[in-house]
Amino acid sequence: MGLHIENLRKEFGKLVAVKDLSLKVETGEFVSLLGPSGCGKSTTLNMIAGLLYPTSGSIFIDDVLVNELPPRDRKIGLVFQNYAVFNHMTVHDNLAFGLKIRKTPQNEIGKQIKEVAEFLRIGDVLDKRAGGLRLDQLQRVAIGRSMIVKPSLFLLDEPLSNLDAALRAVMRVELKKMQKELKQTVVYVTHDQLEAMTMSERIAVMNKGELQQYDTPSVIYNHPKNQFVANFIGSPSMNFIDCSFAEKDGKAFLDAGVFSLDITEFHEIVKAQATSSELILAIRPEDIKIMNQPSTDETIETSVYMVEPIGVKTIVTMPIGNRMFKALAAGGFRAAIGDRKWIAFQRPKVHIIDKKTGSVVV
Amino acid sequence: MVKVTLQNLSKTFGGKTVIRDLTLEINEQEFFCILGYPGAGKTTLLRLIAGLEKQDKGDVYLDNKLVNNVHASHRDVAMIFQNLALYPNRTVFENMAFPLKVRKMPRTELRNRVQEVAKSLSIEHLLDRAIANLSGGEKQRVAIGRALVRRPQVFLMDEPLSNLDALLRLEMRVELKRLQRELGQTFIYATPDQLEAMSMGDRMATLSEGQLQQVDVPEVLYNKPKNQFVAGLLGSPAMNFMEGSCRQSDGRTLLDVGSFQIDITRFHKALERATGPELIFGIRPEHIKVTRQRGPNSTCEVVVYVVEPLGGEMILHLGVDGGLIKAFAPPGFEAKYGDHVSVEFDPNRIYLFDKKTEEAIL
Repeated sequence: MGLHIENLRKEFGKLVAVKDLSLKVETGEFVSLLGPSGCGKSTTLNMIAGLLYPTSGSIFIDDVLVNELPPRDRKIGLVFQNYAVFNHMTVHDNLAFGLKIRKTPQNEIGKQIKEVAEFLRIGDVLDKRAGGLRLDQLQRVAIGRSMIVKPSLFLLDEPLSNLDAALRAVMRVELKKMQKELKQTVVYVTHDQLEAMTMSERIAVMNKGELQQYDTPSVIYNHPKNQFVANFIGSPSMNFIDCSFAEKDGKAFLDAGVFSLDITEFHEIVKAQATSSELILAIRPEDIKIMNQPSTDETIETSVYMVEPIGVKTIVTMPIGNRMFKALAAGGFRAAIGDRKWIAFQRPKVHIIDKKTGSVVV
Repeated sequence: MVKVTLQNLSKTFGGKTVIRDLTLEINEQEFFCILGYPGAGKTTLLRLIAGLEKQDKGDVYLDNKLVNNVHASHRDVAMIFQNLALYPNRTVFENMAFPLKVRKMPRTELRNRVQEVAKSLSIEHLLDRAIANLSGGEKQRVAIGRALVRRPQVFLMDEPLSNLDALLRLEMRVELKRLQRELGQTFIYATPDQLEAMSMGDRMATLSEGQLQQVDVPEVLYNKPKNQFVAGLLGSPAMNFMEGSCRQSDGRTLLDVGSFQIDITRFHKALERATGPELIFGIRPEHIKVTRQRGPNSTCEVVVYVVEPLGGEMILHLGVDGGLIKAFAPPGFEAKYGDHVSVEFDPNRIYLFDKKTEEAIL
């Protein structure tokens, strides 16, 4: 087991930053802690690193209880958003630093630096001072510095946030490739759902110090456990609209005022699990079909509020009731503001959420 | 509501040419986006239009009127910056009234004007709130409102959304575009984000090292880029490029890219434009078909390096000739690191660029 956290809790005075978190990360696995700022993800990482002491709970790294161990004895590598590199030192000396402290023989140091530098594509800047590097090169050096001591566990806290979108996309792929090739165990903190989705084997979604869901990207995306997870993952976000549960002639309906959806097939499950008749219909933008004419009884009339062509896709915003819905159409889709359209939901993709508890019922 | 005409504009800062002989016409009521990397000259261009910088050469016309010698304060141009430059401790009303107070507008007229603009921006209810207590989106509106009260003829916006989080940015994109439509004003919008430029611009220009690369509607830039720079700038993931060289074989013209060849005989007319046999082959990720088995139309076999699930779709990074290309996986496609798969390039969607001049050949 790479990392095992049990009932981890951290209180700062009255504030509970992390609430009884339990999590297992397999050796060689890439796990992201994902959530908005203040959700407890960085606090969790800092406890794993030994920079913060937990209020209660246990942390095991490679099956060793490390609660009492100082950071340097935990066999971890740490990389932060702000590159902790020595600006006045050369890239070579930065990389050598951790090895020298560990009294690695000189010829061994040279060999390892060459390897790591090649891997991270910083071989050509080894003799440059770190202070003069580009941002992405700096981050590569920071990663190299941690990597070179071969940690059991690699901890990264928003390492790509300072880079622009294009560089972030490049670094995302390189980090992932490196982790795969080295079979490195990684815990990666981010607020960016795209980073978490694309890099992780499993994602731990956190909110207000509590673990919301821990699963593979595909399960998190397709079967979110609650409204928070549903809303946080995916871009553009999922659409939500308040509905009430109605029964008529032995059939069940989701009544949103402007439309009503037959949900008889989920009748039993909704009745059994929902705590009240107040429900929320949730649907992803790619699961909405836009049409020029009404087709079935369940198509909903609307008008185009905005069309945003973004190359391979087009985002179409349309009012439904008092909400703005976003749908994804093909790249060639064209419509003018105000055009009359009809939309239909891809039925198997409709989620039903209990409004009171926020839990996904269907 | 004016037309903006720039003629042979040049600007140098301390020997460095920032704007290079730039000619551009922006139509009235147009949402015009200027896209380029940091340092491309976007901000300088806006400042030249606003009159905050004086060009070394060339002319600026507002509504066919030469304004080279008209001071910024008399150009009827409003500029909105990335950091918004609002007074955080003042109320929304005070912030919006500020430009009118400076102009010594009578009290009742001032109050009416601010209220009217606040209403058009749906921020009437916030007028007494302090800026510090507003959300990012609300602040954005106040900044626009403060510019609007002056009834400017042209809006210049310099990366106004870059400080917002991803979700809000998506929302503000739609709102800004709607606002521009409702106001019927000319907006000139500088951004490094290709998504913003494509989704918001009626037309757009790409700028590199102070030079215009291509000016047209976003669709044309996306589908018919004039050169490799524009081709690589638009689209996410970006277009794939591979180097190749032309050779004749049995009366056919083949482009040899290393691990595969493509018959480009049918382009022989266009190929006359090439300055040499060395070409760059380009293909967008959405025009690559990935299959498990090699089919009759397969271009070559590749190895899966990285799999990036985005939720609704999946991007595959595939190793070809020592480099990586990106492709969208078909729905339901399962792939993992190290898998061998086949790719097929859509023959009607390939791009060719001259390696020397980087100009598009097709």
